[in-house]
Order: sequence, then structure tokens, then C-alpha cells
Amino acid sequence: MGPLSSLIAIPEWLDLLIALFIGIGFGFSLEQAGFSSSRKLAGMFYGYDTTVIKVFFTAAIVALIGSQLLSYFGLLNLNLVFVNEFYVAASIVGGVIMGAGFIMGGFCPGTGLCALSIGKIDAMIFFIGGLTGAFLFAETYPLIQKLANGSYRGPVKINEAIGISPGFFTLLLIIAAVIMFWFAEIAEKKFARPDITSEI
Amino acid sequence: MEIIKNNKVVIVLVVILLVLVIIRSTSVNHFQSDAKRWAEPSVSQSNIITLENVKLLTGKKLIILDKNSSSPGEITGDVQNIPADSVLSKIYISLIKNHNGPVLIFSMDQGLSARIWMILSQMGCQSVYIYTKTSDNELLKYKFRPDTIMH
Amino acid sequence: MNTRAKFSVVLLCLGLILAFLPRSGNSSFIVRPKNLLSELLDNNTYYSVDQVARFIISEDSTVQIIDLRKPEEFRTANIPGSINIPYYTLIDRNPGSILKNGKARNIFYSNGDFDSNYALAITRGLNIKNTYVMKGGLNEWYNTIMNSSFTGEKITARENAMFEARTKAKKMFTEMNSLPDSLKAKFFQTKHLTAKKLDGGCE
Repeated sequence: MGPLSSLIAIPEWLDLLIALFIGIGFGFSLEQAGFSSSRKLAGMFYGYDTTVIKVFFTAAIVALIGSQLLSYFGLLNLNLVFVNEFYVAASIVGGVIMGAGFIMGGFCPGTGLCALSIGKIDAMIFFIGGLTGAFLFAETYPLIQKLANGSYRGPVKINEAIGISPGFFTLLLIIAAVIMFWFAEIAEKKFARPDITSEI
Repeated sequence: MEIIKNNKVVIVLVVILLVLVIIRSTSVNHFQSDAKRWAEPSVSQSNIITLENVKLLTGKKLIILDKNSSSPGEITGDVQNIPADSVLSKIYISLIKNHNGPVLIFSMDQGLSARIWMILSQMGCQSVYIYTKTSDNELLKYKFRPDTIMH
Repeated sequence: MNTRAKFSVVLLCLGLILAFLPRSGNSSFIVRPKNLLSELLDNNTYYSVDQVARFIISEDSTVQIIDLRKPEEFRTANIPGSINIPYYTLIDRNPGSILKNGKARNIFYSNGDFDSNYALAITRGLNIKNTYVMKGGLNEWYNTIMNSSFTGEKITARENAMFEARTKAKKMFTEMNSLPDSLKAKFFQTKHLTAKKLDGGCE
């Protein structure tokens, strides 16, 4: 675990144990926030419940601020943190498929597992659907290989692509998030569906 | 006043963070970010200086010496010696960073001078030079004679 | 102020603090300055040319010798078994990935003492621990190994061992560097084969 391992030498098993506890904490907080309800999740797209965007945007910003500060104080080496590789076409196509699946199913992979753990049947079907999709991807890989590996841009960071410092980018993202939160509140009033929100 | 009272915790945390950041940005005792930039003078060899050029420099000269070497007698004028193994102590590092004149590193072991230069440069010290008697340390002084008879 | 507004204000303050932090571009040294200084003042980071000579004649596979000079100089003559990573390339790219070769020891050398020790300071600063320097560089190698000669009447066992090692290293250096480039790789393969045959083993 980044900050700790730069101060004390942590054996690998302890690193993995810490990761296990962090994962348990993640699942716990997802469930506590009500994210195992597919109606709450789908509400993001219909406008009557904007919890998803608030929670995830907050999580992203807290992680961003935290990692920037830890890096500044020399406790975390950001060069060791994995950055996803960017395949333009694949990201767009994959995003569309995932978005369609999210709206139709009312779950995304993480929340789906969360709901599965409390025994929801629609989550079980969703999970089977996800595994089927992964299986199909593997079986048809030779056909879609070109799309999957095309337009490779490498592990890009937005602030490097635009040419601003990471701290300034964080500020811009925070401003965007705050604006988004205000719009979310307005949307909730406009698209209110009290028949659904009173139940979840 | 009401606002401050209601949000005590948050305000305290933000202020603590601000103070920590200010302390960190003004402290002298950590490495700069961007190692490549601060290593650059070693690539262009602009950090090596010989006696003729030392004589052209003005101002008090700080000379960092390791314990096995003695101060080069040929450097005259206002000179202060600093022992290499305590070069990172608070007094000396601030002295070096705030110094107006040149800072020279001298050692009989030139490798050691190179190492100390790299540390000081990465701490953000500019105008630190390695003092050598001759400037040909990285030239190969021998010629390879190939053996053209195949065994 | 409601929660949302409070929250937004806190985030904006933190964002402002961050926006004024200096841009940290490429990697910086990770090890703490005082620890790095004591590490670099330690003589354990040096190998003498005699020690390196023994590594290459025994073809020690736990050692990687790295030549920091320009490619032209490397091609003219280099220590057998060494690879060429010019100094300016080492700091341009990420030294960590280049040196993650699983070797117990990476020994730097250049013509003199500067580049090899810069490289050592940089790699140790980036917390890459298995790096060392051949003291004196190639100049010292020529001086000690290539120009080695024995004068005097009697020789002690230790001096004898040292002189033998130097002669073998000198022979290897001359032979290897006299080969045309195409044959250099093959030379090492055959050396491995002859050693194995001498070892014996299952028939």
C-alpha cells in the first residue's frame, strides 16, 4: 500500500491483506449507500436519483486530492501508480455497450456483485450475462482484435495531454464536480418520481 | 462567527493542511521533483571547473572536502571549508543554498565528488561545481591494440 | 449552509491549495537525502578492476556490467559481456525499468570516474539498490589489467592468483574486442559450450 510501504517495508502478504480489508470496506460502503438497488442506479439515467454521480465523482476527487497531497509530501510515488492505457476506438465502443447494459440492467459490474452478495435474483442474472459477455469477447477476439487494439495512445493523463499541472487540473475537476452537483439537485427536482424514490 | 463555529472541524483540518503545505514548500531538506532537469549539468559537463576558471569567479568560495582530502592550496582568497559527511546538516545546507558565490567540491576520489555533486544538485543547489586539476577525467587515455591474428 | 454547499466549499479550498503546488514532472529521488548521502559515502558501492576481471573470467551470470559511454566508444573496445547504455540515455528514460533485470549486481563503468558515479548516485537515489561502480573506469582497467606486468624474482601465492586473473582478463578483452562485430555474440556461445564439456556430466 503506497503511502505505508514507503515508510515501512511491508511484506507482500500484509499488502494483500490490507487490500482485502479495503475491498471489504468498499463493498460495505456501496451497500450502505444503497447501491445494490437497481432502481437507484437506473435513476441516474432517468434523473430522479442522482446519487451515483455524486458518490463516484466524490470518490474520484477524494482519491485525486489524496494522491496529489501524498505525492507532494513524498509518501507516494505517482510514477509507480498504474495508469490505464488508452485505446480510443475501443474505449468509445466499450463505453456505449457498457452504458446500454447499465441502463437496461440497472447494475454496473461492481454494484452487481454487491447486490449479488445480498442474494438479489436480478443481480444473479446480470452476473451471468456479464460472464457470457466476457466469454463471447474471448471467443470472437480474432475478429475484433483490430478494433480492440486500434488507435493506441498509451497511458495518457489528461493534465499532461493539455499541458497543465496536476494540481491545477484537480482544481478544474473540482469546479466541474461542484457544478455537476448543483445540476444534479435541479434534475432531481425536475424529474422527480416519488413513486420510485419512496421505495428505495 | 456562526459559520466558523458550526464548521470548526473542517476549518481546522483545512488550515492544518495549508500549514503543512507551506512548511513543505519552504523547507530546504528534500529532493526536487524532476530528477532529469537537475542532473542535466552532468551530461553537458558544465558542472566541472578547473583552476583557471575558478580564478575568474568572484565572491567567497565554499569548498566541500571529504575527510581524506585537504583543501587545495592553489585556491586563494576568501575560502570556507565544509566537511562532506555533514554537508546535509541544516546549517551547511542552508549556507550552501543561500550562498552568493561559487560552491566547489573537491576530493582526491573524483567519484566521490561526482556523487556529492549529484545529491546537492538534486536538492536544488545551483552554482555547485566539481573542482578538478585537469579536465580530462572522462577521456580514454589508452588506445586499444586489436589482436589481428585469429586463434 | 446546507451539506452540499459546505462540501463544495471544502473541496474548492483543497483544490486551490493543490493548484498552487509545483508541477512534479519526471521522477525525483525517493530515498531521503541523509540516507542517500551515507549510502554514497560508503565504499561498499565500489568494485575494483581486479574484482570485475574475476567476474568476467568466471562469466558470473549474477553480474551485469554496464558501459555508460557513447556507442562509438563502446564499439571500439568494451569490457567483455558488458552492455551499452549511454549515460544520457539512462537519465532520459526510466532507469528503474532498464535495470529491472533480476541481476544481483549491476556494475557501471565509463572512461573515468564521473559518469559512472553520477549514474550510481541517480540509481541509488531512485531506490535501485543493486548498482555499483568499477572504480577508476576503463582508464584504470587499461592501467592495471592491460598493462599488467610482474617485476621481481619471487611471487607470493596471492600475487600469483592476481597476476593470473589479470592475464586471463587481458586475453579475453583483447580477443573479444578484436573480433568483427558479427562474431562477438558467437564467441560467447562457444565459450559456454567448451566450459560445459570440460565440466563432465551425464553421457
